[in-house]
Amino acid sequence: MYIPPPTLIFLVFSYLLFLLSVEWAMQPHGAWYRPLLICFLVIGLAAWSFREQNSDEL
Amino acid sequence: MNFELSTLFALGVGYLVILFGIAYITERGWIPERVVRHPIVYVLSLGVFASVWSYYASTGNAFRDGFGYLAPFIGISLAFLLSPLLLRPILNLTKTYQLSSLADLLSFRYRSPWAGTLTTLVMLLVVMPLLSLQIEAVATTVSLLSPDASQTTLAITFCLLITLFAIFFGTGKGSGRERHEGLVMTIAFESLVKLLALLAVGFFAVYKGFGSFDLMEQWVREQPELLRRIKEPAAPGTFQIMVLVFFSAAVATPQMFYMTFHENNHPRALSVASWGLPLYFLLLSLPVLPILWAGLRSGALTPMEYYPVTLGSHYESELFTLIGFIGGMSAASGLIIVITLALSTMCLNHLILPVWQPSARQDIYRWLLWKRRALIAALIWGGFLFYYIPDNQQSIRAVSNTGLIGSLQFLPAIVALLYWPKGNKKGFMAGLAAGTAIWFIFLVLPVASGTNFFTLGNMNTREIVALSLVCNIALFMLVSLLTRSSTEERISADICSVDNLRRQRRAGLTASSPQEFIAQLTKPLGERTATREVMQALRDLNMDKQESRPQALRQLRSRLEANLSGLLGPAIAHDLIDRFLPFTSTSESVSADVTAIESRIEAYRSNLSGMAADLDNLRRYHRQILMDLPLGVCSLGPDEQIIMWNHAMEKLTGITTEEAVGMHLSEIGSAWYKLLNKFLHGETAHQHKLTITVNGGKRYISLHKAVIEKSTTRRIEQDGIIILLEDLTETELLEEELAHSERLASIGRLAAGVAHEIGNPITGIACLAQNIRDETSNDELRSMARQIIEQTDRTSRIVQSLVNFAHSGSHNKADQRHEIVQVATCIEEAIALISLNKKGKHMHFDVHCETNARILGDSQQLLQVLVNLINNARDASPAESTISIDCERIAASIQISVSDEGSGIPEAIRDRVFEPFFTTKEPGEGTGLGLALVYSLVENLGGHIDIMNATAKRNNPGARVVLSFPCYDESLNKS
Repeated sequence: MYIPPPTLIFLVFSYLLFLLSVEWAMQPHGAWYRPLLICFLVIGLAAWSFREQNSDEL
Repeated sequence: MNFELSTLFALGVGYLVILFGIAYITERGWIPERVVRHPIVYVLSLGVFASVWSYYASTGNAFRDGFGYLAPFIGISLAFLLSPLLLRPILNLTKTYQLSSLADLLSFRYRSPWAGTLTTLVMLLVVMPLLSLQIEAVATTVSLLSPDASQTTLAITFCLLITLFAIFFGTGKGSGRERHEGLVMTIAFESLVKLLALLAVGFFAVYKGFGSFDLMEQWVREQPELLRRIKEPAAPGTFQIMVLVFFSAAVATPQMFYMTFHENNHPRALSVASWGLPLYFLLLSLPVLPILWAGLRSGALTPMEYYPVTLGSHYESELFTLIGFIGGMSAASGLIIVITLALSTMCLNHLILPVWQPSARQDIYRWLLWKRRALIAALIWGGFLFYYIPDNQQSIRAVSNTGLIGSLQFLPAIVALLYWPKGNKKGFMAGLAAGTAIWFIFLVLPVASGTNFFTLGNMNTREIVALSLVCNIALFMLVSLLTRSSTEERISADICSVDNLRRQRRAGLTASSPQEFIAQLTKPLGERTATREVMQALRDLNMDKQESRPQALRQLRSRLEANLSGLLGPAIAHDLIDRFLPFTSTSESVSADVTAIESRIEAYRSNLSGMAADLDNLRRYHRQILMDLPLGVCSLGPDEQIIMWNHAMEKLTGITTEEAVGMHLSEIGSAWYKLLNKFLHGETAHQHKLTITVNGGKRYISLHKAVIEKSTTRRIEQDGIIILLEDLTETELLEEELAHSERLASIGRLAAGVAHEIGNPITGIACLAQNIRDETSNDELRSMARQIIEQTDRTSRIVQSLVNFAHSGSHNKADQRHEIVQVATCIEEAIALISLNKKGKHMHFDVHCETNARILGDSQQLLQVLVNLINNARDASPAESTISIDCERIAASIQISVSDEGSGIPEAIRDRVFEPFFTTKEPGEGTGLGLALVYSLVENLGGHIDIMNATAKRNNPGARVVLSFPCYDESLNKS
């Protein structure tokens, strides 16, 4: 199985983002929409990662 | 704020009529194809997953679980964000093998009809409460907005309209294989409507409920308890379990499987959906909190699940209430339609067809169509009964929530089918049965009946879910490891495994042509269906109906199985194909079909990148070496099927690579088969200069072979034989020509010696005979002397011929004249010389000569050649017949032909006519040196001579001598 590098980058980045931002997003006095902002960021990264590219899926 | 029932009814019916209209104009092709097939439409159609639970339940979930309400969105989004690992491989499988449901996929992978049946039964348990929940949501919404209305009547009307829609636009032509573009367009429209409706209500909540976004922020900050609830972490594991449930629901629920895989029109659409669907769900979840807060602030008494609909009425806005109502109805109706379509196919393929199949005399397509329609109606009305019968509507909601957890039980089998080839049907069924039993006994039954028949200590829901999943996985693995997989299961595991190419076995079939396929399939399917299916498969593969190559027939068989799988389900299709189109008894031992693997790699060439692309380039390079090798290369499998056939083989045999690959060796023509088969089964690995006659021409071939041993490595399991063919025909002809020339030269040398030695005594004898003739008066003696002179004259002529022949063979090229020779002039001169001989027969000459035909050489030699040939033609032809002399320029050569109307040259002596002293004339009439001399002179002129029978066009059996000389071209020679 071949995973395209952008997909790997996306997976690693999303995981790190989750680890680093969960505390910030859930701060009691923080803006309520912070978790939604993180979701937008992950989706943006996914859109870049899944742009049209060659794949080795046979 | 209350509404008239007629208003809501008109709105609901009007909305469903719009859905009918969209489906109708799409099916009629009135919407441009680029719109219908756009990836965005596909993404929106996947929004069908956001049904009542997301439209209504999210606000209640947000109040109870805070940001835990995002768990379903995150779960399903994760499945799509990880699509290269899960959804893409499944999409490839479903497209290749026409699998339209999870039951199809699992029964295909685990090669068991029971796997499909079990999956369908569990799926029915999972989704029936979900169906009733949609009906209940619509009915409750109407009763909230119009308290006097009868919920039951409304639910019945809603179900009726949805049934009609699903039957008209979801069953298509009845085969169940085709995509339903009208349906996809409608579902996409519904998804768009519910998104816009929810966003509009959210916008209304912010600006009507609070005045502005900032004021809403301010209000929220003033509600510390509310903020705390939102951000408070849920109980350990709850969020994760919900994410996992909805992750598996992306593949395991029938509606998502159907829309994601069956209605997918291009793999690229899935790539867009990988981020597009998460974005859709994120947009859908944005207004949830503002709607909740606005509802709470209004002090509304309606259940908060219905805030998206009732918020408008709380703030006295009819428009936003109706917008909310339409959004809710679109969420409910879309899901019901897709679930029933998907489930109807599953029930038909895995519950009905295994026990009740149409007979061969029936129209199968019509039979399937009506069964599917009946099932759709039955499922929708079954959902209605589920809604109608229970007294406690709360239990429907609870059971449907719990029901979704049941889909989690399929996750181990789905992951294993892609990543664990050792899993087998026994393991799958044991795991699924155990997990489902725990889920049903400890979660569904207590919720549905309100009584705990069995207890598991103090375990809560999430712990029971975890337990069911662990038992499922453990049993699946344990039973799979302890039991053996059948051969078919192993092949299927290979096919499904993401690390393997889809492999075909190179096995022979009992049916040897598409006609035989039809004849065999007529038994179970009837002639009409069998013919239609075989012709469809031939069209899909772009094959001819005369196709008979084993490899092509194997492809046809696979295609037929895939097509029938879309029609009857994989289990029935596999069983049917196995029974009526079986492989020959030796099938088990044969190895994988290299050609099929190659053609698959070939088809994906543009998709390869990185190291895979490099490896492919390397493979191509090595293949190209073999293909362009000047020796014929033919590789055979152990069953004597041709695997490789290079360009040299094409030239040699006249059979193209496309034709040859996949053929059995015996199909390449008797001459080549005899030669290769004898060599193949002989003991020697090399044979030199074997002769073969192909198309009347003799060829000389050297053969070499090498055995490809079967490797012990699993990855290299090819064996067979490679044969090299060396074409020695040209070398042999050159050798023959050289030997002929050498023979002529030696005869020439001999002739020169003989002429020299005989010439002098003959001259002496002639002189003496003349003396006797002139000096004696004895008549008898004078007569004898005259006879001696005549004989010596004849001997002198023979000797002169010998001398000429000897000189022609030993001409020094340096002394030879090189002048521009006008061929037309030479022909005229030769005819004039021949005509001088009045003793000969009178002939007609038919001359066609291009005036600019010129060669470079000795004109006297060409003249002598032509005189000899015309002389021979005259001798061979009857009097008053015609000798045809043609001269034309063909490409870079001048071709001169001399044809007579004689009896021609028999095949048996054609090879000998150029030999010295060979003649067919009566003794004393010819020396047998004429054509030998011509041959020698033509060679001196750098030409080529050939002799054949005259053209059939003239209906003439006579001989035709063709001379070819390099053409003299002034411009070329100057340069």
